Order: sequence, then C-alpha cells, then structure tokens
Amino acid sequence: MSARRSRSRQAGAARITDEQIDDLMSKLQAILPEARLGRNDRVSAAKVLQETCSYIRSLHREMDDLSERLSELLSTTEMSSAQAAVVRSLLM
Amino acid sequence: MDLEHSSISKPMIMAFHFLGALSHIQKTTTHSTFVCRCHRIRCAAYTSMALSTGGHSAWSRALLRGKLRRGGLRKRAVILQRPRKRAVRLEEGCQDGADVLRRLVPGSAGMDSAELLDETADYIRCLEEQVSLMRSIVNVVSSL
Repeated sequence: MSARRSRSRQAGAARITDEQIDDLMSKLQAILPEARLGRNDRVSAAKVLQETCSYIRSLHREMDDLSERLSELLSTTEMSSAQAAVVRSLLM
Repeated sequence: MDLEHSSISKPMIMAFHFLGALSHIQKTTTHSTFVCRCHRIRCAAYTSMALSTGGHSAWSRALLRGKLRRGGLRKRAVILQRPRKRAVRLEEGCQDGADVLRRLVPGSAGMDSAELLDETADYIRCLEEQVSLMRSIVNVVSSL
C-alpha cells in the first residue's frame, strides 16, 4: 500500500481530531451543489452525509443515463471521425 | 510519471481514455445488443475516471482492481474486506450515514471517518468531471 499519506491507518482514534473532521465536513459541504444545502454553517453532519449519499446516487444515475444516450449515438455515428470534433470542443 | 506535474490536464487524460474506449467499443459491438454496449460504455466511463487520477486515491485503485479481477465493472463499489477496527469519530446519528457512504464510494469500506470524507470529496469531483465530459460528447456528437 502507498506510504504517501501522513496519517497512519494503524493509529488509534486519538490522532484524528474533531477539527479535522469539521474541516472535512465543510470541504464536503462546499462540494455539494448549493441547492442541496445552502451555505448555512449550521447544517448538521448527519444532514451533510445524507445529502452527499443522495448526490453520489444521482451522479451514478446520470452516468447510467449518459451511457445509454452514448450507446444510442454510437450505433449511428462514426466515432473516429467524431473524436476530432469532440477534442476541439474540449480544448476551447 | 507523476500526472500532477505534467502539463496535460486531468480532464484531457480522462477524455483521451474515454474517447479511445468509445472508438474501440463501437468497432467491437456492431452485432451486440444495446444493453451490452451500454454496459461496456459505463465500464469505460468508470475506468477512464479512475485512470485520470493516477492512482492517488483508494477509490480509483479499487475500481481498477475490480475491473482487472472480473474483466469488467459489474458492481460500482468494490467492497474490500479489511479486518480493521473503524475509528468511531463521527457523532451519534452519523454512523448510518457514514456506512451508506462507505457502500457508495469504492474501496472505502475499511476507512476511518477522516479518510472516508477525503475520499468522498475526491470521488465526487471526479464523478462530476466524467459526467461533464460525457455530456460534452453527447452534445457534440448529436449535433454532427
């Protein structure tokens, strides 16, 4: 396993401080779309976790939907020629 | 090669892998069913997502390990059975939420709360990038 992380996984609970947890919670809160939580600092940790799970599930669903759409498009479009157009649009 | 220091951005690496996979899938699924092609595209999406992070996160390694082991991503979350005590650091009432999160984020089953939150943030960011990439592809291709 990589030794890059400074936090040791074998350490007891004492190593992880409450501030660290709070920091990570706010980091997570910042990532969630505003509509889900607002920027209110008083959102509980449980709510953040709940919204996070719900958001991940919706992202998974979107991946499924987009895979289906791409599957449809793949049957009608020649991908190798479309690639150039896609890369061009990504670069801009 | 450390991808973080290269001049090629992560979204470009993701696009490179995914577009290549789509081309390959198109060539090899001319007689396959819609469901089969759809499944392969989904696998390619998760793989290109995992490859673009350069293996810095546990979820990406878990996804790639799952793919190698089974020859495909049948489940999204590869749950690694690590016999380790979880540090109970979140307040009461959060444990259920944390457990659900561990099932959703690949490779996070044995993590403590701090690591879990870190992984989750990274996983969500990459999911968003992959979704955004797929949306752009759908837009470009359907307007051709």
